[in-house]
Amino acid sequence: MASVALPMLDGAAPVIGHLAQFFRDPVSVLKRGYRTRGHLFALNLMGRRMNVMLGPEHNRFFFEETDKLLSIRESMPFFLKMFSPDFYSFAEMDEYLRQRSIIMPRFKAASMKQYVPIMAEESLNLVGRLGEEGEFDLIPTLGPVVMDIAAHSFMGREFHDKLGHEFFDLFRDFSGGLEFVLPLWLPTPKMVKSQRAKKQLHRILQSWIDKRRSAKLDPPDFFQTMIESKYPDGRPVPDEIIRHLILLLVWAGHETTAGQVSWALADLIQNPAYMRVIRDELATVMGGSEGHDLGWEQAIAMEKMDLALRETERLHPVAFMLSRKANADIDRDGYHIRKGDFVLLAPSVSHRMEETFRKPDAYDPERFNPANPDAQIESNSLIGFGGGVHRCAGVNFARMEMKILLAVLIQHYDMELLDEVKPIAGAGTYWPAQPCRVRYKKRVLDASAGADIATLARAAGCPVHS
Amino acid sequence: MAKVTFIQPDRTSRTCVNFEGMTLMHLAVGNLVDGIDALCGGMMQCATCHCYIAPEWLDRVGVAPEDERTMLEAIEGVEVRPNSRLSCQVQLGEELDGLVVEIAADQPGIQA
Repeated sequence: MASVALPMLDGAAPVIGHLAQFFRDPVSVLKRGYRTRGHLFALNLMGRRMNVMLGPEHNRFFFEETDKLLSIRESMPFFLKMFSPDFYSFAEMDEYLRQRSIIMPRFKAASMKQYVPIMAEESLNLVGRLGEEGEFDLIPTLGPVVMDIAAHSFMGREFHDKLGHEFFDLFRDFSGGLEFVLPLWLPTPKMVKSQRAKKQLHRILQSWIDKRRSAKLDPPDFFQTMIESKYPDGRPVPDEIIRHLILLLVWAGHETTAGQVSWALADLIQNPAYMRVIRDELATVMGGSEGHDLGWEQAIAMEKMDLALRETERLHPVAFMLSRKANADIDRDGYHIRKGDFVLLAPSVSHRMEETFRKPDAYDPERFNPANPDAQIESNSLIGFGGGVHRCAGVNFARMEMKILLAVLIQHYDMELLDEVKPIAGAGTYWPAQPCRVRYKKRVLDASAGADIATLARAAGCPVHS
Repeated sequence: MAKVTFIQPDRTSRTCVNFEGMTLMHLAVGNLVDGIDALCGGMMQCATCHCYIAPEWLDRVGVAPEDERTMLEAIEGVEVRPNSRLSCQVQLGEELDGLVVEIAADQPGIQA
């Protein structure tokens, strides 16, 4: 059986290939590939062959073959510069699992339940800062809240209190190192800033670690537990790894979420019919309360909010591209991929394919409602959080905090958009471009209680409560 | 639509709806169901997502294949039964709509 290379997208320039276009607006290049070549096509980035696969079948293949035919370790070199070659997904599998076991307990149900009051508290702090009426810019306003939630939840109140504007700005600079296209040795201002911020962040974290070692917290909080953690053979986890883990949690916990929650709010403001559906749900779940007592059971009961978040994830996946490197030659659907080539998934394109999602450009959260007989919930079709074993470990945390932040804002404010919402072309993650301002005005709340949990559970079809 | 009911050791239970064709583990963790720890995140490396499939569903879910059986049998301090599965290895689909699962009393394995 003859195997040919994936069809190359046209318009490649000599030497650099599609690099310039990809750098300017990667999503438009990927969309053009789909339009002109279909589900399987290739790009040329400075001589590197990038094979793009689209659709649930290929998504499944990509996730199932990761750590087998496909390598994640070599696919994101920028990650190595921001962290280190011995860190997390980039370490040897054994080391990866050991490091993962240090942070995964943070995502257990028992832990998650404790974060909900924290998420509510930080969201209400924002309400306090916003006041009665005014304007705010989405990313600069919601970004710090999301970072505060991550720091407070994962590292504890003390950590959170220490974070100030300096930390947030350092993180912004650090995040600028998420460079996929240009060679990493190129000393662009962004790369230089990112490396400088990285050093500064590590210095700050080490000083906190040292202080804690000399004055332990008893009972220990998560930070203390982390500092004292040991590998199965009894070796203490090195300080460097601990610093990387903290940075990873706080960075991953805000970089993508800030963008996603901003899109979600913009989507709802632009779709008043569904905003009403959300308001009705909040009236049931929260009543007229301000949200100070918001608990996990109420958060779980917000199913319409779940649907809205999934629709935003579909329309505006902030991680718009996933990449791997082929560990061996691969033959797929009559095409041949060479060992050493890159293989890419493009959520931003596959989420908009007509054969996977009816009316793909329309905002329709109910398309995900499992109560609909033709609900579009085929596995591996929605891949905003990746899939397979390396699927985002923070997916539930992210969804929970977005739910709560949105619930609190929508409960407290009527809002309208003042700017057109556009994605930033060429960004590492796909945020709405700034400014993206919202005008807000306080609603009057009557402080009535929401439905009780049993009522909510009955409504959800729980057999015990029916 | 796949609805799955999780029953706790104290006989309380919750029913969760599967949105995304995910694994049983992801459904539990995403819905804050206590007792599924999934400390390795779904890589069949830690056995802390252990659960018991209700016997009447075992045919449709299937017993644990050999690799998974090995992981299960390595668990200490928790009763492993013929209907034990690692929930990170159970893919949910329409055919499992109505599935009932019992949560184990403990999840040893990697300690928090």
